[in-house]
Amino acid sequence: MAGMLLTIVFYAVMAIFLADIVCRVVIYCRGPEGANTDTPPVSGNSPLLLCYMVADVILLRRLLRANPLIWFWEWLFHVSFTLVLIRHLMYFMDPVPDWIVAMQPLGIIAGCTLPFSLLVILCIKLGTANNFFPPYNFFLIVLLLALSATGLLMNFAIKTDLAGIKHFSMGIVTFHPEIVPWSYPFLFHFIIFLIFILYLPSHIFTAPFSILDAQKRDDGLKLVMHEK
Amino acid sequence: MQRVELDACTQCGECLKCCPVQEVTGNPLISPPEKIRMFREFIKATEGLKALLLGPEDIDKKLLEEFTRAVYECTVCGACGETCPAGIFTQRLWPMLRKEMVRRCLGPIGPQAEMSEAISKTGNPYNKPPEERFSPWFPEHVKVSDRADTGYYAGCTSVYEAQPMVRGDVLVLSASGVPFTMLGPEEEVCCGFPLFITGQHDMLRDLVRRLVSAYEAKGVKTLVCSCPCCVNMMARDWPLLYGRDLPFRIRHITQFVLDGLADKKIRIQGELNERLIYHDPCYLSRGVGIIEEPRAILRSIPGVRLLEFEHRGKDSRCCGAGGAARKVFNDNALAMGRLTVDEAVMKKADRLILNCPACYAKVNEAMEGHDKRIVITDLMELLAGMLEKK
Repeated sequence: MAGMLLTIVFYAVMAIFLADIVCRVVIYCRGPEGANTDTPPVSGNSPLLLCYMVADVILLRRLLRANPLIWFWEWLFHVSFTLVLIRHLMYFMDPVPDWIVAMQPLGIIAGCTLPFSLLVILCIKLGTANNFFPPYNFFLIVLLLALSATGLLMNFAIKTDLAGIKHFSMGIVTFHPEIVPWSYPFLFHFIIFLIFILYLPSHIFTAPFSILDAQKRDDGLKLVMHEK
Repeated sequence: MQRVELDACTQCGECLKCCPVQEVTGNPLISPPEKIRMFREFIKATEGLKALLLGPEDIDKKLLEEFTRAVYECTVCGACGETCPAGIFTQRLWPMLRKEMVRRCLGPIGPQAEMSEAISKTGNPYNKPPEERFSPWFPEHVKVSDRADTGYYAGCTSVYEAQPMVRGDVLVLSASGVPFTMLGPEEEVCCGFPLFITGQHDMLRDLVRRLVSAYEAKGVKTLVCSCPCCVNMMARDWPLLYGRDLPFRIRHITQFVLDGLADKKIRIQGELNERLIYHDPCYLSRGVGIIEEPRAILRSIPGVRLLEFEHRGKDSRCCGAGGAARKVFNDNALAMGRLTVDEAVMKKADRLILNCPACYAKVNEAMEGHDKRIVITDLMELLAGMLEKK
């Protein structure tokens, strides 16, 4: 019963999430009426420009320029989060590909660096005078800390029925709801994850595009008034 | 792209460190991330998923007024975008936001709302008589050809609020020996930038077509201008508004002068033993990438020692004159102008070199009644006094 309920809640949250994405895409495509979509000339899609663009996204180069201190911890957080996400794929795939199995140790280390980097970011934000720190960002960091705390508990402290978790998660992706393992850390972890999905920051989808566009624009700036 | 950028903001707040309006007001409610957050809420309430399912929400009138004020208090200098880790192009985002405000009948505000009518009647946003555009101060001995390959566009702010700039420009053009043409006072209308920046886009196409056709009729192949806002408008937006490539190329006057110095058409006489500090106009440095040309000109003057502001080039700090905000939020503009003067004085410069008519007008005004003073000269105004006459 609890497994069915949680599964339905999961589907409902994902449906809202997907509907929100679709809505945003429609809003993006619609755009402001008669938008002045100026596109400064760019130097072409040379391999070097593409390399800079990719480096901008992967290394958060613009944040490094703006604030080197917070850049390191933000980069560590993003990398750790990505590795943790990849590690979790094993719960949704059967058989689990070898590369995901190989990533497990790295994912476990990332599970430790993730909350550490978040705590440092939180300290920097709260400790810096006149720092802009909106409540939403604070809430997100707290959610992520709670998510990683429950994950660490299950990994290192409280014995959890991993087979049961896998069974339950496979039931979700195959639309065959299964019994949820009765483990408080797992239940909290799962519920916090669902809340996180509802409050997922939209910038994770759009910031890469604006970063890529910014690099093209920077590259093209010299061509606005200067011939090639 | 602007709507994608609205969602791309991570609300990190790095931009507040370089926002000139923040520096003088200390009000986070009118900060760049707060404007973006409010507009996101606005779009969500009127077009988001909840609005689609349950109908658009009624938004608190006071909140809307505060939001509109925040959007129009910005000088649109783009410093926030230059710092933004997400690479948001704020120099374009804020005008588009204002366009949305106008479309929803929430803006523009104050004297900005009179610009459209003023331009319709007089061809300029200052509502000044067109016959006063070039007279009586235009140098009489400067010969303006009826038709020429080189055209010069003075710009409304230059002719009505920074006449020494235009005097300098035409004297430099004259000294180069290159024949140039200009439109008459009734023909040279607004380039469209003030309307663009305040979100009032209705008249833009007509203004652009009128100007482009007029210059084309005069045989212009290169249009030279010194106002950064006009140059920005011409280089970036005129082709789009005109509907095709312009029949002439756009050049900033510093590019023309550098070419002239290289070809020996322009020769500097004498020397100037002064410490000069150059201020990068936002729409010249961040807007169109003209950063080194003014410096190269200043360095070519014998005796000059060129000083730099702490924030230079693409990181230049706004002088307060931008975004059409100075007419509505004059106190902010004066405060920002005074910061520019203060830094120039602190750096022990003998002269502050400006390269924008709006900066020129506002910084001069900001110095009135201020305890710190410095000689302010436009770049071409300075150069015109040092050229070998032809």
